[in-house]
Amino acid sequence: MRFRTKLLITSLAIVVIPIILAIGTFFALGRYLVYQQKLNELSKGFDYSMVSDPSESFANMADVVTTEIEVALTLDPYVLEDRLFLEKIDRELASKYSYLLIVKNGSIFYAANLNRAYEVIGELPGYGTDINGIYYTASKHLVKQLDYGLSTGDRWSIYIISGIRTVLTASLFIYMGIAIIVILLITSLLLTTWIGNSFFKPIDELNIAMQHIQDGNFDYMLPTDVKEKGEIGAMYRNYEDMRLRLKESAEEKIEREKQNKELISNISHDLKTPITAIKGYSQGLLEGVADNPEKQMKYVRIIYNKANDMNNLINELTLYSSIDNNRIPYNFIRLNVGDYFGDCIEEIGADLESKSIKLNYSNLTAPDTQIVADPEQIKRVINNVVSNSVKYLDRDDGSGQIDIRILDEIDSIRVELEDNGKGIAQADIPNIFDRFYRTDASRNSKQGGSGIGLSIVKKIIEDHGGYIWATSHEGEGTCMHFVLRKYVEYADTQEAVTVEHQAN
Amino acid sequence: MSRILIVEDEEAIADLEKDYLELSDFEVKIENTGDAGLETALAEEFDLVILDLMLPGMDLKYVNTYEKKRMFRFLWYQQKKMISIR
Repeated sequence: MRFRTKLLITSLAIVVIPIILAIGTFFALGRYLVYQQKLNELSKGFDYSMVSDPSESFANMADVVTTEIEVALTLDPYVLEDRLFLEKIDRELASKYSYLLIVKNGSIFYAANLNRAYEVIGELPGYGTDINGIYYTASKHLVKQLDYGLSTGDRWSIYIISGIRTVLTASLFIYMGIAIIVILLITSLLLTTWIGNSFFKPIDELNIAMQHIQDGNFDYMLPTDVKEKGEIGAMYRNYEDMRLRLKESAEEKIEREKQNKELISNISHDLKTPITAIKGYSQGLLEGVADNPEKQMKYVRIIYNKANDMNNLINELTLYSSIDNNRIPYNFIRLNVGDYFGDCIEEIGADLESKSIKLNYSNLTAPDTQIVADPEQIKRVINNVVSNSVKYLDRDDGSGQIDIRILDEIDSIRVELEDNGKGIAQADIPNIFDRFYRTDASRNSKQGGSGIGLSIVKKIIEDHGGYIWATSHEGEGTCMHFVLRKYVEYADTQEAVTVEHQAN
Repeated sequence: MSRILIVEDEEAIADLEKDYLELSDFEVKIENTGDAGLETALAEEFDLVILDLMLPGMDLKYVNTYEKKRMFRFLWYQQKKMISIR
């Protein structure tokens, strides 16, 4: 249930429930008190007006009955001796918890309940006391007296007596007062507890959870069922989302830090190795270890090569850094696929031939296919991939070959560069585009490069809005695939589909 | 003449070490991989083995302590000295 709904229910209930309970209590108390005074013998029903305001009620009733008796007497002076008539009057009185008592010449002539009559007779004044209206007996019963004297000398006193003692009303009100206070207290307590629980339980749980997060524990889940509807459920779900996001964030941060440490370690290793050689060989020259001109040339050449290697490494690092930070301004222009790639292939063809590596090129796209790309960067991509193939060819018998294919994929082109070199282990394939990744753990400089090349390649392709991936079988070869979107002119609007890249 | 085995994959560095050592009249043999180095160390007689710890195919920091222990133990029994570098 939504919390707002609970609040609404509470605000209504806190008024309605006490009212209902109070009314119920009133009737129950009334009945009880009536029972207590044994008035239920007179009437099984519950007369509200007699209980709450006996004087008024009794007076009205007494007037009516008195008139009735007087009228009857006028018609028949001896009607008082008619038992049936008296019982009829009694029945009328009974509904108001009252009864009839007739005294003739000083002794009780008629009383429906003799015991009750004897109880009260002592308090009643006798014949002839000139009392108008209604009076109280000593025991607080209301009485209306009617004196009647016959010409025969008989003296009749007719008493209409209320069984209800007026203290009943007083006690009723006191009891009701107490009852209402109790009802209100209990209702209020129950409802506020109910609401309070709905409110404070989630708050407490959330506090605990937040504390966990503050302590760095992102795994603490809220114990309550998050399927709950309403505001609380929504809050729980939001907390859960936030927790997962924070956790991810924290884990990413740790991962990034780890990667950074690895990066620095790799960079320092890759720079230390050539430096060690440069130092060593220079020292060798200085200390005369190279004791003949051939050796000296060799040493100098090695120093030169190592210095070059370091220079290349630093250049690659710089390039990667600027691409990574989007500091390279790409120069996107429209290129004809056939022309552009044809040129690239020609350039690398010569170099591969000199290394006795066969090059097969096929362009399967339509001659007018165009892409939007930076020609220099894409050439870098091709050169890098091809040089990797050459580096890891592992064949010096002239059987090495590289196939380059360009395929049409309707709204994009796919370039595949396949070699028959030594391949990449399945386990390593997901990592090859990582910065500084070398499958060879020893990172020696003879065989491989810095490992930055492919990460640069990936960044360039992705900045062009494309994808790059690799497939390989160890011992058989590797194939690099990348996809670039075509440039398409819409016939009617002439709107170009271009790749947007924010270069800042 | 004392014989020294250098197990080092960086050719430039291994060659330089060899040049230095030969100047001091040592006979030096170079192996570029861990497996070849192990084989040679066990097959031939050497007075000293200079061993790089991160070698292609056998990163002795992480891999195959059984092999490493075997080599160490054998050379120790032969009272050979071994220097690990890096």
